[in-house]
Amino acid sequence: MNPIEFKNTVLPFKDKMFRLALRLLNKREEAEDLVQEALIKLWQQQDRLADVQNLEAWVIRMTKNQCIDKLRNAKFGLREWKEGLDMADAAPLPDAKIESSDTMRNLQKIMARLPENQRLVMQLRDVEGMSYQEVAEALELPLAQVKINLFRARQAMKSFLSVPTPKA
Amino acid sequence: MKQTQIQSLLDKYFAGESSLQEEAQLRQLLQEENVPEAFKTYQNLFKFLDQELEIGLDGDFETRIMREIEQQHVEAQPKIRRLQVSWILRIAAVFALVTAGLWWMLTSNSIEKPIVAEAETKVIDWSKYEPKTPEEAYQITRKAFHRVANGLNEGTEIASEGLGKMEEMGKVFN
Repeated sequence: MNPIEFKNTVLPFKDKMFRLALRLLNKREEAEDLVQEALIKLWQQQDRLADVQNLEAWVIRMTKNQCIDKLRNAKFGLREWKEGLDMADAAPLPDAKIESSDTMRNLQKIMARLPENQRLVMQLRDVEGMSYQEVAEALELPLAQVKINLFRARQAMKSFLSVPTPKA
Repeated sequence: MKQTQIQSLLDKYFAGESSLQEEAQLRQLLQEENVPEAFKTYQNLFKFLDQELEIGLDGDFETRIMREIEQQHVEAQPKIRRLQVSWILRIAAVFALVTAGLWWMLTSNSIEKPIVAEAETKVIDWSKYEPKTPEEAYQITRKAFHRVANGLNEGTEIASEGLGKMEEMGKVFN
């Protein structure tokens, strides 16, 4: 694989990788560095890329695993993660175009506090629009686990909205 | 009608049983202006999810990463070429040595072996063999006669030995 082929096949996933890293690390700079490291690592494994059946799932899995390694690393411990969470609570959302109303910020906060698997499943399904099967493959979870995590994540968001679903 | 449809889709969504198509339809319905008041709160949830999709890396990220990859690609190239050239040279050197050795062996053998000596060690195909000089023809003929004479002498001796044994046997029977 040459750099042009890499640019055309792998780089289109860079924003998806970034959003996933940001969802896990809560810090924009850390997430950006991680995506850069992940892409360089992918380039160095270019010989293996041709054999990969589902490149998108592989790239997402690799990003998730690198994030988890980073979170477990002493240098990026719980203190840093909580710091990132506080920053996410206080600061306006990363993109200037994003509406930073209280509701939006609170939804951001609720999602950031969901358990890891619920957060990841909701990110891939409700933000990235992936199928249950694709989510299961990318996160290496059984299909049933994907559905349970998604159900719980959505219920948490619904509880926050605290309005009972009106009956027709 | 519309309210019933939204309600049904929301129920499926929160139960985690909706398909991607149904979720797209729900987003579409909630984006419309005349959404019933009761559902407006859910508009925020889908607006939030849509806005999350707009988050992305800076515009120059791709340029930076491609510069790094191009650099690594270029650095990897000369190593491969150097390796290939060194292996080609090694193989060529071994081939040259083997060829030179074989040539030396073949040429040295043919110089040292005289034709007459060859005539002594090999069975000559007389129908094809042609001596190049009269001396060579004389030598070959002489050797041939010598060999025939030796053969005849050996035959005579064997025959006389056989006759002697027969005479002794005759004496025993008589």
